[in-house]
Amino acid sequence: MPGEQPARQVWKVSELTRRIKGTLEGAFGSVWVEGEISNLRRPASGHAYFTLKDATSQLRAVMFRSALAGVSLPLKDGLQVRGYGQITVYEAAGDYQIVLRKLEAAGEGELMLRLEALKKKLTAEGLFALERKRPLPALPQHVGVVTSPTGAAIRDILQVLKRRFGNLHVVVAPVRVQGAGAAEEIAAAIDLLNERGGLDALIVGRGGGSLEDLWCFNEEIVVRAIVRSRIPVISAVGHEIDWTLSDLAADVRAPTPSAAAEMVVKSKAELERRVADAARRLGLGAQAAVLAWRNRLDRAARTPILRDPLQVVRQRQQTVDFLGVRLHNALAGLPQLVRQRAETSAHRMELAMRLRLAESGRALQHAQAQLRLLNPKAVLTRGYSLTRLPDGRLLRAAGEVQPGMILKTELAAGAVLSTVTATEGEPHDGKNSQNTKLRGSTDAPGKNRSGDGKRQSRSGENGGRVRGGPEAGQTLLF
Amino acid sequence: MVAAFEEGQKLAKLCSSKLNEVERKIELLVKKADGTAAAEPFTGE
Repeated sequence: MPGEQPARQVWKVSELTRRIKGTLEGAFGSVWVEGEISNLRRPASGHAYFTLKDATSQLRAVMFRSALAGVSLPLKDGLQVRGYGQITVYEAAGDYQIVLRKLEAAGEGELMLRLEALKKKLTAEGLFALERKRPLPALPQHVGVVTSPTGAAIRDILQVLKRRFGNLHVVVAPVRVQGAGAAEEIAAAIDLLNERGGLDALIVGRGGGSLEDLWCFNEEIVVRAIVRSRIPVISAVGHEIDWTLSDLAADVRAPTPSAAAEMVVKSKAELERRVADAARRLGLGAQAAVLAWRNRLDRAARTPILRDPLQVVRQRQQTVDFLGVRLHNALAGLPQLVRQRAETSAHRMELAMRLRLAESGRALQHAQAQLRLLNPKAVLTRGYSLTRLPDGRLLRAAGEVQPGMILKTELAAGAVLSTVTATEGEPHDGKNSQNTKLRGSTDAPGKNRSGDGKRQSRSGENGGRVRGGPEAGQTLLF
Repeated sequence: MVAAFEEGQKLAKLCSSKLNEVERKIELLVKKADGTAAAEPFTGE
């Protein structure tokens, strides 16, 4: 019977759905939810539709274009995210879903909080202060690299270094650059390279990766090792957009490992070009200077005084003549008394001038006399003579001559050639050689004067006796 | 002035020689069993 049955309440789908929607929205409101993105679709509207899932469940999610604008990470399937939004129901499909207003990589939030806290602490210690930054050396020749020996970074760095400066000494300290223990290895490597010494700069870094991958370069132990390094450190972590605390602590931050290599080592070709350029400009400068001096010299040589010095004298002479005539005329016109006085003055002047000329003349003669005294040949006029061996040397000892040798004796006037007949203890027998014309040959040896006699007697002690020597008596041996 | 020129020439020569002072060498620091590190030629270029 129809009346016995309780009245059915039949909902329209839309009504029911609206009811469910109201209940759900009221019960949950806005929530944070974490899951993995899958089935991502981005139609032309610019909105993003995807599913958030974990091991056992999934949740439809939508993010409208306006909300997407505030999301920094690129959406892709498989990405672990944490989103904030409102649970709602899409009535047309009967699906419940979450409309996301915020989205960030899962785990990022906590990491960022830790990072901010550490950054604040180390900043307060002054580790990132600009005053601490040291300049990189102008010409590093020994460069240390702290990175993975197998990564892309070391290849990039070595390639750039090789290209820019062929002859460079590079020491690679191999380390892990991500995961547990990486930070400790990096810090130890920085310390090790400092202990080894002899390095001009250190490159510390790795290639690009996720925030977690780069995390070890945010660790305090690495930051402190960089700060401690006595060698200037250039950091090169990830890509241009990645910033780590290592970058803040380093003396120089490079956007990429390749850029680090370029910043540390200047191009050798460029340096060589600069040296050559400087040398060339030096040469040009010198040339210009020489040219300038030559021009000055030429100009000076063209001046009248140098071109014809006598002309100047002649001009002066003319002036003197002219003045003389004027003086004469002037005197002629003067009264007798004045003229006499002027003549007296002129006479005195002339006398004074003559006196001075005479004085100068005497001084000159005195100087000439002294000069003459210093001339060895002047002594010859006093009767001494110089005897030379055939080879031109002066004869000083009887032992230097052999019988038969022809000696030349220079006198004050002219010279004499004589042949040696005997030396050494042979009594002179007066046997003259053909050409001998000895002046003063009859003089006694005792007539030697002053120091000359000493030399004479020494040659006598040796037993040397040269004809025309002791006999000449006044032979002067220099 | 001549002295300055000569010094300039000397400096240019010095700079050139500085650029060629060091020989190319790529080394890898390897930890040995006793904990010390030794440099070996790096081959992973």
